Amino acid sequence: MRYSTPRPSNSVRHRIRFPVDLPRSLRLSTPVSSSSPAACADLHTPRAAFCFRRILAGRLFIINKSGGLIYYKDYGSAGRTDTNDSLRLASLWHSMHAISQQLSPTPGCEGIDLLQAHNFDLHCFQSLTGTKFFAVCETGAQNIEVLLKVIYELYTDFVLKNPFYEMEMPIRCELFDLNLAQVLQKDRVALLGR
Amino acid sequence: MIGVGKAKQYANVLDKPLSRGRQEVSLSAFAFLFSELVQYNQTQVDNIAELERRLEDAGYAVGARVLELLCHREKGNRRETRLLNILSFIHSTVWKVLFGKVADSLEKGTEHEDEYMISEKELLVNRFISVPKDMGAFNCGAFVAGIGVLENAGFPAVVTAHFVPIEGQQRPRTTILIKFAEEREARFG
Repeated sequence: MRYSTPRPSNSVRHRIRFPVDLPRSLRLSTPVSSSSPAACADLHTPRAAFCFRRILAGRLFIINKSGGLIYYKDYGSAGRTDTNDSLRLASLWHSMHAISQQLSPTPGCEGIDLLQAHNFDLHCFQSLTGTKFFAVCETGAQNIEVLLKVIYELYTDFVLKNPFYEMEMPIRCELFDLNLAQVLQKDRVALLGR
Repeated sequence: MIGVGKAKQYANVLDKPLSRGRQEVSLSAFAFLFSELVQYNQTQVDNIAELERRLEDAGYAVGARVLELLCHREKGNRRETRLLNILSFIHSTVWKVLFGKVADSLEKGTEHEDEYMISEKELLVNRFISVPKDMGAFNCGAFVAGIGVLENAGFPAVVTAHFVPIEGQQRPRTTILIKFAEEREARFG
């Protein structure tokens, strides 16, 4: 395990690299070669839309502030994960995230936001209220941080403003599913340009 | 809604011009408020029909005020007395003031003479709301249907909100169905 140099900001986040082989259930299908980061710098280009679509081979989790899985979506990954497994994985990640904050040598750590393994990346975004959005995708997939923030925005719009949603409970909102699918599948990068 | 920041301070409220003021209000703030309104009413009722009725009641006062204001501001203190005129007044003027746009369509019912429909592809109040499957055909547009412009203008009518699926679209549109009371038949045309 090795820490990279902290970012020049008050809140220190850590990038942890795990050069170990992970259990089969965490592995993804054939890794796609990554495109250069520069190609995705401008989100408004069609190229960026292409990068977005690459998360399609991956998984998306949303966990509430106590570690319960409230949303899970599988986008064509190889290993099958049943509901119990995904619940377990999600709450394990919650604990690991909390442990990483304790491990930090500097104060003000917000936990892991990127975990890199041999054949996948795990990107995690934690909202101010402790809801965590994380996605596993092939190594080198670009702009996942931005995508997670877009998903957070969809969550605040179509889940939190829905009077029929109960806080901290599993998300069953038609509009959220619909808009998420649109963001992921179509070239809805314009959403970012608002 | 009224621009507080730049507005000149008037000592007497009657000296104020009857201008539009700022027409914008935060959509998020409205969505949260409306969501709370629905949630609160949900705790007060036993069934969906009652929830619908409560939302309609909440909308009723909006209509009374809006009609009063708009007749004064847009119509020189005159109120529409013809049925078609009042309908197009609702479809355009009232809709524009309440939702920032003209309603998508105003149609006459094909089966009944006394039915009219105002359709909206995506009603503003429903923008962020997904109704769970177990609530059946419940539509939060009941709040909009309850806005009693017609009733206050002297056209008693039964107004209800419905979801109508459209082909080739994932989301159903909302139709506000207006059924006029019988004694108003004489005014048709």
